Amino acid sequence: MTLEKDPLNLIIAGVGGQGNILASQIVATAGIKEGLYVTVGETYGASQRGGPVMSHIRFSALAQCGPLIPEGEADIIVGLEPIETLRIIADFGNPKTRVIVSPRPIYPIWVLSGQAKYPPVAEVLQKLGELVAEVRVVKAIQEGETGLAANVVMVGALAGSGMLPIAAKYFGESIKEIVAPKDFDLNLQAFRKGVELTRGKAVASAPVKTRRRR
Amino acid sequence: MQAGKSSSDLEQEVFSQDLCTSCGACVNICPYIKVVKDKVAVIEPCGLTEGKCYDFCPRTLTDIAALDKSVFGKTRTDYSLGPYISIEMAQAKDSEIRCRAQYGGVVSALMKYALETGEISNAVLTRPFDVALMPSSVLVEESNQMAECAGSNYVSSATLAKMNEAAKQGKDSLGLVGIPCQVIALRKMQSSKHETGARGVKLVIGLFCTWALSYKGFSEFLKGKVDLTKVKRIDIPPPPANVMVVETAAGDVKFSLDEVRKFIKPTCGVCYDMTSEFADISVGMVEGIEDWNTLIVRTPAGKKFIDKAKKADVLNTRPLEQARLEHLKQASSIKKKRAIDAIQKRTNDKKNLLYLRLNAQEKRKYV
Amino acid sequence: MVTLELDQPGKIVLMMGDEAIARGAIEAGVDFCASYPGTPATEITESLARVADRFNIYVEWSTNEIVAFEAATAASLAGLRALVAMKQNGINVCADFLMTVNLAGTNGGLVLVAADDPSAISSSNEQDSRSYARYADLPLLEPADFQEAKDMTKWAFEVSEKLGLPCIMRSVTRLSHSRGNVKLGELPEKKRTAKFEGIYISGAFAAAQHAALHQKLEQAREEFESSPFNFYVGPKKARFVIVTSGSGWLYSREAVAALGLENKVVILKIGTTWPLPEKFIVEHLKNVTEILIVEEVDPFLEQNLKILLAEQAKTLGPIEVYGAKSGHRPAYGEMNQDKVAQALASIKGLKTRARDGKYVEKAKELLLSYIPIRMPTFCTGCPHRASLWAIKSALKLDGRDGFVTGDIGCYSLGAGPAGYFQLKTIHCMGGGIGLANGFGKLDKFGFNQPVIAVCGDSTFYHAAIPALINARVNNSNVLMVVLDNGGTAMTGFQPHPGSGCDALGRPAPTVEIENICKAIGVEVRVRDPFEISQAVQELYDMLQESGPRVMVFRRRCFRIEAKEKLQKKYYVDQSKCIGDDCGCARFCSRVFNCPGIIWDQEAQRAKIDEVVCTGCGVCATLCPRGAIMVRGVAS
Repeated sequence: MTLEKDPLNLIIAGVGGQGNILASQIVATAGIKEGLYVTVGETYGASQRGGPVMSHIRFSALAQCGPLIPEGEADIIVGLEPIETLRIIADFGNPKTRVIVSPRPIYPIWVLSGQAKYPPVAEVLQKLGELVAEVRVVKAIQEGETGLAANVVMVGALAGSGMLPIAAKYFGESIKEIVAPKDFDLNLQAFRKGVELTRGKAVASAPVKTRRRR
Repeated sequence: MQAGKSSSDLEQEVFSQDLCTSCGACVNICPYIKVVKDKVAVIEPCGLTEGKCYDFCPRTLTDIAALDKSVFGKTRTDYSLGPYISIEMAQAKDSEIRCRAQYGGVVSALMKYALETGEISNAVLTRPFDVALMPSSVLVEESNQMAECAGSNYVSSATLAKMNEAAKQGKDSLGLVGIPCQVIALRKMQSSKHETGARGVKLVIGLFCTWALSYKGFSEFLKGKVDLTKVKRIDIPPPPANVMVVETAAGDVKFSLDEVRKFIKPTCGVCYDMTSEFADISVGMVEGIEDWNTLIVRTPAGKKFIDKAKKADVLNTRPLEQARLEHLKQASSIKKKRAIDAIQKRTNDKKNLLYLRLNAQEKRKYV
Repeated sequence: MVTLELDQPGKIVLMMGDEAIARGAIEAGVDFCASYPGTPATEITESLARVADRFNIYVEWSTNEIVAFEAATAASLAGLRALVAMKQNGINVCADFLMTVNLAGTNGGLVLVAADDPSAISSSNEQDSRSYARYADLPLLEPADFQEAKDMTKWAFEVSEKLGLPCIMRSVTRLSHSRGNVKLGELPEKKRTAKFEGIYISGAFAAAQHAALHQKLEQAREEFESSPFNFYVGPKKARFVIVTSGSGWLYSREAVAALGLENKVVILKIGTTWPLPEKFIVEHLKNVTEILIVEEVDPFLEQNLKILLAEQAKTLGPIEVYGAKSGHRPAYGEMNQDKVAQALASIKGLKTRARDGKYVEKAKELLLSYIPIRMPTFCTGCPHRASLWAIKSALKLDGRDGFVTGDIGCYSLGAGPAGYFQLKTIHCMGGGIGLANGFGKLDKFGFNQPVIAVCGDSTFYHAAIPALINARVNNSNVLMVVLDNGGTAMTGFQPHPGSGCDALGRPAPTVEIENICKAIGVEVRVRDPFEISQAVQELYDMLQESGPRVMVFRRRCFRIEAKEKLQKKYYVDQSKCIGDDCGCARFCSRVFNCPGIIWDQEAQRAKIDEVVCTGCGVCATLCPRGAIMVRGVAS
């Protein structure tokens, strides 16, 4: 197969502990099943302790790519947390980038201690919209939910958005290969929920006003 | 009360100047100030610009006249002993109490009576030799819990920290035995603009105090010479002995007072109050008479309580001879003079009396 | 992950670099694996442990890297195939054994995987471990992608056996922890049995052994001349060559494509980085006038290549070399495609693909002013938070300007806001108590500051014991606080000698830290750091003592506890919380620094983030108002 853009660069951005790595594994494995070269680069270690985490996922029909997306070359960004999404956009985004983002904030320590401010989420989403081509807000965690498997909901949202040329069934197969059998149902449900959210059925997905580049 | 100062000012003006008396008034109000043994420290700046800790401290602005007005309703006329209604000699009628006590057992007898009659629901007392040489404050509910609370230690514990803790637990009918700095802090707390559990203290018995020893220095000094875990009593016989006697289970050891004086806390040098001038009742020793106390009744509340106690036959009393009264006044005045001298040495400025605010007359007498 | 043991040769799967290395070892029929956890090598051993029973591999977490290396060497001497994996610091710990096993020789294939961490993403230093190969006269391989990670590992065993030497394979974080396509190979039939015979003594005529070692290296070089891991890509006759190894390969290829130079630039990719395949290189450098060297981190390849160029000056003529020395790439930090593209562009006088200027300006401005920095902190419920708060309190109460010497582990974050900036020094494993035991002897020079050496449980077994013995023998004034959370937490909670289980999760005897301390003869106390006021009191008392003494703060890593047992649910009774007022001043959310507590802007009170809170309850004990309450148990 050939890709419209080769390599196609995707970043999943979030906070340590949100399950960034599991999400990227599912997406990448699905890509391999689709017959592509896939490279996933991640930040590990101390950054896991509540620091920012990003997974760079690069798809190519031609050859194995390096694990880091060059500056400004991210085509798609899936943000598990609003501020982290904005942070990634600064280094890796461009006016053509498309974004899927969960609006639930996770407060950094310096914000919690009052030494820094966490801007209002609506404002963050708006600033995102001013920079990129498209922002889809996906409420992966509803009010009162604990957010278990929210990362897989976002994977579903990505699959359902059509931004990746990877068949949805491959995602399901990947989940079954990666996740422990006792967690299949939970994760498959989460995945399906995410797919629904970007196929426009649920109220929770609301595109933000953006500046469209022709 | 001075407005607009907080823990960082307390750190700068009191802790770092070696002026802290370890009274504990600032402890257990917030998570930022802690005490261990007799060391009080600010662990972390709280970031506020004004707060209780500074206002409660007996080494920050203490206006004697203002405190007199708030405790007694009027300013003092006696500049040696502070305001009082009566002064006499007393001892516990119960000989068992007298046995366990340092001198006449008056404090033990009165606190026992106060608890048993419901005058107070709880008492903040001190176990003099709780953890080896270090005393600790305890909250007592029944008089039978008072057994180990008799006797003096020349190291002090942070009594008001215990009081703050008790107040947080909702105890609002407290009795307290404290030394002068603790009593002053307590009265500052009670008359402050802040919300404080100190207003739950209904009966204040103050002890006479000339100085206190720093735990670290004193314990290191005694370490090789005495088994610290076996100390039962510490006593300073009247002059001209000039010794300190440490009684242990294994016998008595005498030390030259000159050696011991090296461990007096620097803050005691600037202390203006020998007889707990702001307590309801002040109790001290009678020099040369082992089993009697000097009993000073100061407030109407204190008098009411003492009258009840006397009626209940809790105490034996005797008038205090004029010579002894003069001696006491002299001793107290000498302490005040020494305090002013020590303060002047620190400030090098006749007008700057550090934390003390005296009226004109008092200044003329001592400055 | 099932892919590691799949018996489907030819199938393409997604694998992490470390997993590919493990798979390569499995395909080589590895028998023995010993290791100490260290990022980014940990997953190699974890992968092998998962399939140890299936493939009859002995896998162990050793107390430290040199012990692991020695254990693996024993397997090799007995004719088995052995793998030892470590992070960059591990090879420093192994150095003495490395410099003797090279002379004494090996038997069965012995592969040492050194995984470097350029930019020290998860390390306390940055180093390039390749120099050890040159220093020890040992063969060095550098995989450039995920397929090579697998295939080279398999080949490394063959190389080692041919030479009778350990073979070093060097990986980096970007390879070890990234994932990519790997085509699986065949699973082997293992038939080796262990038997020892022969003599392996380093130092018996060491000079002669050294000469023999040099000869083995020449042998290796000849072998490497025809290795498929050295290849070139690009036009047959080009004047400009990029010589690269390891991670530099993927970066270089992309950079060349990004600048449209595929027809103008040759990439010479070296997989056998030491000894260099000289004939192969010289062959491809005929007619070349410029070389750009792309590698991570030190100019290792660059310097060795320059030596070769000097030796071959008559054949090759003058060649301009661009690399670290010329300033075309930094000799520190990790490489990426952008840096290679910039180097190429500046040499060629080209422009790299520019980003939209307005976009960049707007985005950068946001980054600086608008977005709060996110610093790593201790997990919710981490006992280190309580321990460091107790240490901070005790030192403040002591008042003699005491300080803390730090060590390596999760608690290293104690140097930052997470741990109230308590740690004042950090070096290597065991460095904390090592330094402190020196400070503790400075009293004759007027030194009177109390010193606390903080040390993890795994660190204790790994490196701290000799310094503690030293402190005892010399009566050094040091208070050692061992933070015992039950496992090697930073790298993923692997077991250590105090954990009670082995690498495969089976029960194992424990060696208690306090028993070691007692045997050494130092005072030791064991306390729960969650009982904070008692901990402060005891630490303070211990600070007043002299000589060496140990406080063990024992409390299991709460991340693990929370996974294994149901935890309490906490919430803030906002009617009791006094927030900004004197008596609190936002202590829990502002000072205590647990990410589970947040400031509710609307209510102006504290609030527990239930998604993140693990229910340890420490904040509840510290709240000055008793406003933090328990609401039942989590389902």
